[in-house]
Amino acid sequence: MQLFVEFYHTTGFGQFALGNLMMIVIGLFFIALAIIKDYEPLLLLPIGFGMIVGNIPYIDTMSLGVYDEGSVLSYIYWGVKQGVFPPLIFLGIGAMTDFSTMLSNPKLVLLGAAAQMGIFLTLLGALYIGFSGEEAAAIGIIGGADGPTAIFLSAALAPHLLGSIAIAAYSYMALVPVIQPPIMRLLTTRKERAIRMPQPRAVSQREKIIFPIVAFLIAAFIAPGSLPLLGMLFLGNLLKESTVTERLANSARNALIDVVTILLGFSVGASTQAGTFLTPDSLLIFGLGAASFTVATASGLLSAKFMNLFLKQKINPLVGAAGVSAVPDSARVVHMVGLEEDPDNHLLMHAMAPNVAGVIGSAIAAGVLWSVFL
Amino acid sequence: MDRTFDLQNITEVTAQNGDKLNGLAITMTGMVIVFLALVLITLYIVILPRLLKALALVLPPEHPAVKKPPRETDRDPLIASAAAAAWHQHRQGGPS
Repeated sequence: MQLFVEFYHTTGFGQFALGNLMMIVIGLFFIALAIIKDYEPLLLLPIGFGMIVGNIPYIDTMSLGVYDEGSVLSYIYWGVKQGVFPPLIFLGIGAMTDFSTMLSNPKLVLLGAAAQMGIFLTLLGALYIGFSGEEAAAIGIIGGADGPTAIFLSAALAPHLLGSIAIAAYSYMALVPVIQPPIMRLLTTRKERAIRMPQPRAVSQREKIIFPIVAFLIAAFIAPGSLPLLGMLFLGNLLKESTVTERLANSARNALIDVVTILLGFSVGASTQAGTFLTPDSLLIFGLGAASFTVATASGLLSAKFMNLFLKQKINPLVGAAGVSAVPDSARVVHMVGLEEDPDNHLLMHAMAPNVAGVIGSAIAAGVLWSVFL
Repeated sequence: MDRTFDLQNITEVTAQNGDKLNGLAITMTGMVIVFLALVLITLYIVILPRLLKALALVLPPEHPAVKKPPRETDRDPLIASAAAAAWHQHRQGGPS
């Protein structure tokens, strides 16, 4: 009987705590969101399952969790901790991205810059609350709505907050269709939402090939901290546009990004062990993340309205909301909200320009913050 | 950890290396750098077509990708082999 009791204490049931239950319920909620609502399923499903895995209790002497030296999960988590996975994901994103709309309407790039205001205003908010400079910078980057960038910067500046920041960033990215539309409707009139934009011009293949090389040189010389992310993003794009490395581009945008997404999502989820994740700081990070996302969306919208004061050919201000860089979800949301006002007004292509500019902008912002707090 | 909500936290930030920084200055500088980088990229995109026009004098002409018409052998190989077998049988004097 004593043996049985001893065995019981080594099982998950014997050490189960309320915190573990809460985290498992959150994990199940993520899985439900992915399957039922189709919100970012490629991310939320592995993260949700990882949360369940990470919250099964075990005895301390067993080396099982992501934080236990030598465990299998710790080797997978190494890619997150050392910032290896985010640049690989950027390689895949680059190989998927078509910069044509950005090249055909360059003024929309500025909306991608304006939306980064969310990052820096949240940095101030986090400092005000009492987070250290490094922690505030890592929290602020949630406003970039770019999961890999958020992980990259928090791994470098505030590794102890990585789990909370990654979960907050990916949760808000998944909730783009819920968070953004009310802000869009609040800050624009019906007339503005119905503005039609001209068809983008055709872009030559030569423009598409030269763009990633020169854009990388500009961005990397200004903010060298963004080098790993933007280097891989533009390499991926060059693989695609050069047309001579189709095999490599295919691997980057299919097999490679899929493998890395699984490993990253799962290990980030598994890092949310109740003991380290359920803290008042995590709640504050979630609150600041929501504020950051809201400010970023509003900044993009208001900047588009501001630009319209000087432009003959008006921009539909909704496309400014896509500057938050959650690719391609925020562009898709812009398209849907635009269709509500005018079923023939297709904004998707236009919204992709600030959307991809936002990816570049948030990587540059991360590079700047990294170099400031190094 | 206890958090102290204080405006002074914004103006007096200590970096890991001990440098004293100002959060407002970081925000302003950060936004300026992000805008500067993206404005430069915008300007580069604006001049790119003109640059390519100038470079057209030295670069080989750009041909649009032409889709090759389907070749005879692109047809269904099953049909091709059935036709070949039928023709062979016909030549051998077999049932047609």
